[in-house]
Amino acid sequence: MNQKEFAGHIKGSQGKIRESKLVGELAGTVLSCGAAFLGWVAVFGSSAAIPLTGGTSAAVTYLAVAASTASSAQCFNGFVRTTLEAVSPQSNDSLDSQEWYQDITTALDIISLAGAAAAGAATLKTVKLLMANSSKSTSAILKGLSRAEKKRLTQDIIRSNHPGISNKLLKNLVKSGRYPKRYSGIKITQSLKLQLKDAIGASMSFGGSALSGNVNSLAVGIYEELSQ
Amino acid sequence: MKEEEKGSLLFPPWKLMGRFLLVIMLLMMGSGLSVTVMLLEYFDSSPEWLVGITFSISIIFCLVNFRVTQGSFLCAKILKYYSLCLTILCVPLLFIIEGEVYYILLSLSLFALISSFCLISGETYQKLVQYQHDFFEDIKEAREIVEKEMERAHKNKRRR
Repeated sequence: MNQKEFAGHIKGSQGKIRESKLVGELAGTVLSCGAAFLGWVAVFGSSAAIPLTGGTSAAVTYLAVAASTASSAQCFNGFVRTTLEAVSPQSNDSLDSQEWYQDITTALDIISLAGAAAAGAATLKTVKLLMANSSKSTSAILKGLSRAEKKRLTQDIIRSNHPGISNKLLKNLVKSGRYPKRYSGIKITQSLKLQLKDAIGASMSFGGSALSGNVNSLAVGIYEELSQ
Repeated sequence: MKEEEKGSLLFPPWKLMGRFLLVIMLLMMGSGLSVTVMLLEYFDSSPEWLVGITFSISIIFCLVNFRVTQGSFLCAKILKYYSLCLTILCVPLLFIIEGEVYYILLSLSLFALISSFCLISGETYQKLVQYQHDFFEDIKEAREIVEKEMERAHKNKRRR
């Protein structure tokens, strides 16, 4: 292979690298936008679950908003990177070499993951609450609760919403229709499903970053001190 | 409400929520592509500025959308005019840009922006905002009633 052929070969392989980079950027964008999509579903659901969870989902809502904002920012970033990769690939290389850019994308990944962790914690809390109200196993709980158990659970949710509420007042509130007598199994299962969606969304966001963003440049170093 | 517009117990009607999610996806695509092309073509921005501006837009965009999920008609209007403004700013680019890739990207973003403008103006999107508005009003009302009831109960306890 002479000098010219070698230069041509290098140039050709560079083109292929850029092509695969563009595909990588596109895949990362799709994953980030998918995560943002699920994040927004979680925002809707967690707002609607406020009466069901006795106010605890209000905090989850803000976490879901933070996570979906992070995923949406990654989605925006994905479109910017894809456009840059198509029209000015050296700009992406320049961005990747900047420390502040790496810090921002890492921060966005962490926020997305924090959303997933919060969703996981909320799921655990809900399952614990369900377990405290039932003698059933976790898998049986996830399948459904009896009418009496649902009633007890509803009362516990109202109590946790208003600590110190008396039984008489609780009965009056239920009687007047201001609080439900019992939450349906569908409502409880949907609440759990929603939290799972949030967790999947954040994992997708992290996956997107691992594919084309900053997480793929992270490395875990293991070292051992050797005694001389 | 029609059968297809009946929601589950936790979410708003799927048709309405699907419209919102479609709009958000289209707007993110339209904004991401059009803002990048605009900044590159109009201002010849550096990648650092590009990323900074798009991140800022994305944060504001999410806050506005969050307010829409809480039933704000004003924020729905802001989104509508935001997509219209971007579309108007993008049109002159069709005569400035050169290169097939730019045309493809710009066409995609224009399609996304015009579609989202039409969807936001549509009845279904407005119904969703109304639904969310009513939902949060109901929660507020219920809370006020319960608080009043609690206050009354506490007063009765003290009297005894």
